[in-house]
Amino acid sequence: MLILLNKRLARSMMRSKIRLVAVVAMVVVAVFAGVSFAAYAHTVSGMYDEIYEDSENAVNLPDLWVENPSGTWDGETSASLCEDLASNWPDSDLVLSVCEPRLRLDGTMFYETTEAGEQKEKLVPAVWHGIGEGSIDRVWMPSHHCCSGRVATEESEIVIDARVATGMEISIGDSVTIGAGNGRMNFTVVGIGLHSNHLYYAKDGDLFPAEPGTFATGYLSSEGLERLANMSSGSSNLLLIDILGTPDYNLPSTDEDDGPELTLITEAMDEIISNSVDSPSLIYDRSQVFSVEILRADAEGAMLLSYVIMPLGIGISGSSLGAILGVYLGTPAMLTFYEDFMGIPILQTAELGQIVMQIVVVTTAVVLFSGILPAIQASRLQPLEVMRGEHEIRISSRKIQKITSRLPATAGLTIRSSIRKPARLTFTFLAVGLSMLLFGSTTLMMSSMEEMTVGSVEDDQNWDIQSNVLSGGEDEVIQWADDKGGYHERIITFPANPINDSRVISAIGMEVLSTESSALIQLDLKEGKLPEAGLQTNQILIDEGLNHFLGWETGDIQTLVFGSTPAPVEIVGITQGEMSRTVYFNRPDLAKIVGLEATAVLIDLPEGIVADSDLGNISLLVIEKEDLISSYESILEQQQSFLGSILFLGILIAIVVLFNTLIINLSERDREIATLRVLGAPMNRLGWMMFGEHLAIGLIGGVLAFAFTLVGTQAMVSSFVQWSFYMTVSADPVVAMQLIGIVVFISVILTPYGMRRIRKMDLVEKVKDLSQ
Amino acid sequence: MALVKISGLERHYQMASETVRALDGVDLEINEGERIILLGPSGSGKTTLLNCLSALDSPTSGEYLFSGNKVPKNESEAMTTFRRENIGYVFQFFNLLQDLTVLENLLLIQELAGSRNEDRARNLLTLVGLEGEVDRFPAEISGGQQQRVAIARSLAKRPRLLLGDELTGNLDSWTSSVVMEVLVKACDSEGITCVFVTHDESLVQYATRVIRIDSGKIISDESGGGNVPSSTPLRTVG
Ligand SMILES: Nc1ncnc2c1ncn2[C@@H]1O[C@H](COP(=O)(O)OP(=O)(O)OP(=O)(O)O)[C@@H](O)[C@H]1O
Ligand SMILES: [Mg+2]
Repeated sequence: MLILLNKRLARSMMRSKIRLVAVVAMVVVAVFAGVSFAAYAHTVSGMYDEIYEDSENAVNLPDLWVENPSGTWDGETSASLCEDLASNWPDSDLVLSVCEPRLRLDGTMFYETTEAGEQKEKLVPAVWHGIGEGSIDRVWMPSHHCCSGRVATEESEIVIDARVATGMEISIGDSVTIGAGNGRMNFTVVGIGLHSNHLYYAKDGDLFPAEPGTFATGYLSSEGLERLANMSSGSSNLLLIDILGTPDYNLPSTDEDDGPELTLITEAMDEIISNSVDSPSLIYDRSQVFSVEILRADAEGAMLLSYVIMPLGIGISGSSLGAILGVYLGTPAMLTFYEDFMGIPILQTAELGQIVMQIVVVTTAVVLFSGILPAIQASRLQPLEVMRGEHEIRISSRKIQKITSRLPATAGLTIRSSIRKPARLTFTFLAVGLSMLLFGSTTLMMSSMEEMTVGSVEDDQNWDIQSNVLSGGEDEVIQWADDKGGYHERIITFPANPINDSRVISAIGMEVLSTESSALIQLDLKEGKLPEAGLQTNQILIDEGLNHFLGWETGDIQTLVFGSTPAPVEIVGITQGEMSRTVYFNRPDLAKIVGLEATAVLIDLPEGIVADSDLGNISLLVIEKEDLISSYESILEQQQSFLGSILFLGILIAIVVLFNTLIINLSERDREIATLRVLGAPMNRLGWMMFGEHLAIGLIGGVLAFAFTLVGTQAMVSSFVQWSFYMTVSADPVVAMQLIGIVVFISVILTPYGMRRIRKMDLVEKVKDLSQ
Repeated sequence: MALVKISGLERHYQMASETVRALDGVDLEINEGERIILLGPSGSGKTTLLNCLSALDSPTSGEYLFSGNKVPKNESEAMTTFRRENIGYVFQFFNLLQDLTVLENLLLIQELAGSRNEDRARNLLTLVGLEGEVDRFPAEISGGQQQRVAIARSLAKRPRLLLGDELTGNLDSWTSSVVMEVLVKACDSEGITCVFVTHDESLVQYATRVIRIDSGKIISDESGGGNVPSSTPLRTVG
């Protein structure tokens, strides 16, 4: 009995070879994607903990940072701050282990390139670290081909970042010319390494890694950096605090309070520090380490994806092939991409065996379930039966007949027979819609990203150069701009945070707040009005993300904290398009709060005039808009090659699912088509009928696919937006057309296959079937 | 001239160990207006012969002329065209299109043949006694009524040869006699040549000619109990 049933199953599956292939292909794709994404996620999420460890080969990441955003502390103040902290450390389980003052400065690297055969000096924005004792937050030099050499000990030595070494082709023994707002000096490269602040190699506040050659970081000895910046011995603007063990810290993306103990410590520290110094200082924990957040979200996203794709698979036979592809192709490809994109070496890949087992087991379970279910339901061992909707309710044929009675009977038949079984129809549309989810959401994400990055810089930013300066340094830059005949505005960028909340907001003070397209920075006001300057309570604009995360609304009076200085503000409007959390002040208002007139100067230069080394010498760092755009573009390009493979996967899934669905749809109609054929229906007639049907399915399915995609992407985006990265996804008509077009295209090109199937139909046999 | 002229028709099925000769040298002429009943034991080759006549199947060898022209074989599109232009077909299980009303089932066939004629379709339905059911769906009428629709459908495009395999096999004897009478009446009035396959000896009364077949060969060919139609149709519908 069982043997006979199995024989029957085997034969009926063999007969539908194409469908079998499609099902197996689905499983292959599912397992392939599942293994690749899961292996990637596991590897990436584990690697950072290893880098941050306090061990011989790791960096010993601090647990807390105290930062002076408005200047530096001299040697005496630095030392006394650490002493104060040590002697007044609160009684707690969290015991202070190390307090190390450190100097970290923005600066410039003067980089000689040959452009079009011409020797040219480029001003590359940079960050220089003076790493003293180096017992904490060391330079990471793993035994991997990325890194080599030793740390800087002499005042003329420097370790440069591995990404700079590759991007600018610098090797050990070379000499580099750098500056930090005080002329330039030469340093000798003694090592190539990585640093915890720059694992994710992006300029401060940038979402994407910097293009090779557009950003530099270097790790000097403390004496070296003091000499470069012409500062007294022991100067610092950072205190690195290490606590015994690793305390829990609050991740900005969760609402839970994971580290109440740590919060008590930071509050106590805040008090100790504000007793000792006047200028506002920031205290933050590991949750502010940008890489922690973005990478965690990254890995989670990939994880999610692997489990979303997986259930799409049915059938057991594809698992092994999928697993092999996943292990030998997908995983290495994704990890290599990650290594290249992030520039961080992956020393060890996650244990693959377990991942493969997990995914194969889940897929197999889905397979068994979908095989057993219809067997029980229909007492027929036909795994696909359940989808075909044999057991059907029919919608009132009468109504549809009324509507279509004026059409020729052939057209009426096409329409009616395709909508007569609502369950089958719903399944078809659902499958078609879902099939595009991966492809569609990736495309939509890409277009939103592009809009937010290149689009917003190109369209909304009208300055050519941003020159960052130390307090008081702006005058020289303004003089330079005037000499060149450029238009300039001072701007203040200063970190702040909401009261009782450690998450960082960048407060921007602008000379001109404007929504005009001619403004140096054009604001996209979503609601409200522009702030007025000089009022009792400062008026500000907040960005959409702040509205989302804090629930702040137009009209609210809220308190922002600058270091430890609270400032009440009135929100008069909400802007959109900012990726990181931002508030806008009128510059004089913000200057009063932070005690600085400017942190940078925005310059709009006349045609043909560019930044020169004079500007480099007087600026901390110089950002050129062109560089910004081209680095965004190259990032997007890079991402595109990666997303391209996801797109390919998405299309593959879409084709397989669409194909399967339409074939099920067709084979459902065999009886009808055989009858028509016996009665003499010509092929081209049936072809047109099928074409019409596929066109309709494609159109409706495509619209649904876009709707699913939009909702899905919005859900996905809202699950990974976080404090430091907020974006919204809107219905892009181009993407919509593209999606619908693809679905229509795929379903229409399946028509010839359907026709071939009819042509090959054995009518004698069908007639026999028809009379049984 | 004979409408159908078959000589030395053979249809073989190649099996693993043997060759099944489903048709083993059939010679047959059918004149216009004849109404033939094809009888024979199970497995004798009746269906095979009918399938060859309708060009659903291609004979292994032998000649088949229709109206003096060679009938296409092994060429699905040409065979379909031949069927569309000449053959009417009534199935045992009616095979009406469930999504079309009774009337639309007829219109569809006319559309496929390129000549939609609603008046004719309605008249045919009146002829088979279904004028009250034209707007119903097949699922809303009885089996006998469905078969009558199928007959009207097979006539809708005015085929030259009407074929039916066990077309009453699924009906009780009373209903089957109603259906046969309708069929005879319709064929007479349209002057259509018919070949019906059956196991049911009692249907002999409706035939003008009875052919018996066994093991793929014709073993007898005689006049039936049905009256030979006059050379001009009594009435033409449409
Ligand atoms: N596809 C096939 N493959 C092999 N042999 C076949 C095939 N179709 C029919 N035959 C054989 O051809 C012979 C004639 O079959 P046919 O279907 O014409 O018989 P029949 O007279 O219609 O029988 P019944 O009255 O049972 O319908 C039988 O011996 C049958 O086994
Ligand atoms: Mg038969």
